[in-house]
Amino acid sequence: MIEVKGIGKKYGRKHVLREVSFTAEKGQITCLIGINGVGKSTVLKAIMGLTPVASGTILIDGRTVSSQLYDKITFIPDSITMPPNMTVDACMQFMKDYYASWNTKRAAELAGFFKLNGRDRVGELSKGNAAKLNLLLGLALDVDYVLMDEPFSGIDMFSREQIASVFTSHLIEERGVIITTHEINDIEHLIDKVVLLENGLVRREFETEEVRLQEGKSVMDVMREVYNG
Amino acid sequence: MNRYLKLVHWEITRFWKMLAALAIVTIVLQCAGILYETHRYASEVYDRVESDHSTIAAFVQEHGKHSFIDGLARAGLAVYAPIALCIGGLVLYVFLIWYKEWFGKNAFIYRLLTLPTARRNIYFAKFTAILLFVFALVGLQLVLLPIEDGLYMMAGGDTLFESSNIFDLIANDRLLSMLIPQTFTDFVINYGAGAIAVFIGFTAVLLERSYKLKGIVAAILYIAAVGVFMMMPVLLPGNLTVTYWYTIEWFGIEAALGLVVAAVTVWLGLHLITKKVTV
Repeated sequence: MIEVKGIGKKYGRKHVLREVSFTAEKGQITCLIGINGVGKSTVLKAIMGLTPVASGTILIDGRTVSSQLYDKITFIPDSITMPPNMTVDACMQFMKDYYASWNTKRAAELAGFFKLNGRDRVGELSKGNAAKLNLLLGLALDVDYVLMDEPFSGIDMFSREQIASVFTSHLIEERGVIITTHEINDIEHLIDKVVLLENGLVRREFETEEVRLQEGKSVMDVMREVYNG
Repeated sequence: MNRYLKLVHWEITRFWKMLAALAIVTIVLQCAGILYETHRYASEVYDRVESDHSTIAAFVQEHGKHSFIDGLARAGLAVYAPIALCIGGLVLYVFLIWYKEWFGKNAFIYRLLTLPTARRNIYFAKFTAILLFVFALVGLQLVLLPIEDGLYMMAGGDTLFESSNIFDLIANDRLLSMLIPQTFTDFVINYGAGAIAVFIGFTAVLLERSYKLKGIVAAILYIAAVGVFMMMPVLLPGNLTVTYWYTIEWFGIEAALGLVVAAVTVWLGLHLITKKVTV
C-alpha cells in the first residue's frame, strides 16, 4: 500500500500541497483529480522522491522511498523521458540493462499491441506513439505500483482508446495504480478510488463503487458537487 | 558497482561524438599549423640564403638548426587554440552533463533519478566520465606530439630542422607542462585542483537545481567561501605562512585544506542529489 500522510510543499510563497493524505492499495486504480496547478503531479513526484516535501511522510509497503524501491514502483510522466536520438529498441535495451524487474516478453507484447517500430527514433515519434512508448517503458516493468501522470494528455482519440484498453488488461491487474487525469470520461468506469484535490488539500477521498451503490452518484456527479459547491 | 560502470559507459556514449570532434579539430589544426610554419620558415631561410648569396650549411652553422620546440612556438595559435577549445568545451560540459538531463523536450532526469541504483552512482559516473574525457584529450596530445615531431622532420628535412625531445618540449611549455605534469607532486596538485573544481561545479549545479534562484546565490556564496578557505593561510595576520613556512609545509597545508573542501563539496553534492534535487 502507498500511504501519503500529511505531506506539504511550497513553491516560493505558494503552498502547492497542505496536509495531503490518502492511501492507494495494490490491485486498485486510484485517480487523483483536480484542476491544473492543484498539485497532482507534485504528489506523484513526491511519492517517487523526485521532489522533496516540507512536511509529512510517504510510505510504500511501510518503507520510505529509496533507490531500492525503484524495482517495485515506476513513474510514467506526461512526456517521454528518453533522449530523442535513441530508437525504441535502444530505449527497451536501456531499461533491460538497468532494471532487474524488466520483463522482455511483456515489452515485446506491448510493442506489438501499440504497433511501435523498434527502429523509430524517440524524437521522430508522434505524440500518441511517444505516449505509448512511455507507457510501454513503465508497464513492462514487473513492479507492484505504477504512477501515471496525465497519460491521455494531448493525444488523439484512437491512441487514447488504445491506452485506456490497457487498464482493463492483465498488464494492470494485481498492481496498485495511481493516475492523474483530466480525461475522466475515458476511464471513469475503471477507477476504484478517487482523491479530489483543491488548493493543495484533499477535498474528498472515496471508493467509486461505494458512492455508486450508496448514493447513486457517478465520479462526475461527486466532482460537480465538490468543485461547484 | 555494475550499474555505476554502466552509467559511466552511458555518459561516454552520449559525449563520444563531441569528444571525437574535439580530437579531430586538435589533430587537423595542430598538424596543419606545424606543416604551414615549417614550409614558411624554410621559404624564409631559402630566400635569405639566396639574397645573401650564402648556403644553407652556412646558415645552419651561424643560426643552428630549427628545433621542433621552435617550430611549435612558431605555430603558436594553431597549437594552443585547439587545446583551449578542448579545455573550454570540457569546462562547459561540467555544467551541461547535468543540465542536459533537465532541458529539452524529453527530460531524461525522470528516468535517471528513478534508476534502481544509489544516486551517488549517477554523481560519480558523471565525475568519472569528465575525468576520462580529460585524460582522453591529454592522452591524445601526448601521442600527437611525437607524431607532429615526425611530421615536422618529414616536411622540413634534417638539413635545416631537428627533432626535439618530447619531455624537454613539455617542460619548456607552460600550458603543456600544466596538462602533462613532469612530477607526481605536480600531477596531484594540477589534477587534484581540477577534480575539486569539477566537484564544486557539480555542487553549484545541484544547488541551483534544488533551490532555483536561491540556489544560484548559495552557489556563488559557496564558491566565494571555498576561495576564502583556500586562501586562509595567506590571509592570516602578519602573512606569516608565506614567509615562515617551507614550501613543503605550505604544500601540506594547502593539500589538507583542499581535501577538506573536496570532502565537504562531495558530501553536499550527494546530499543534494539524494534528498533535495527537484525534477
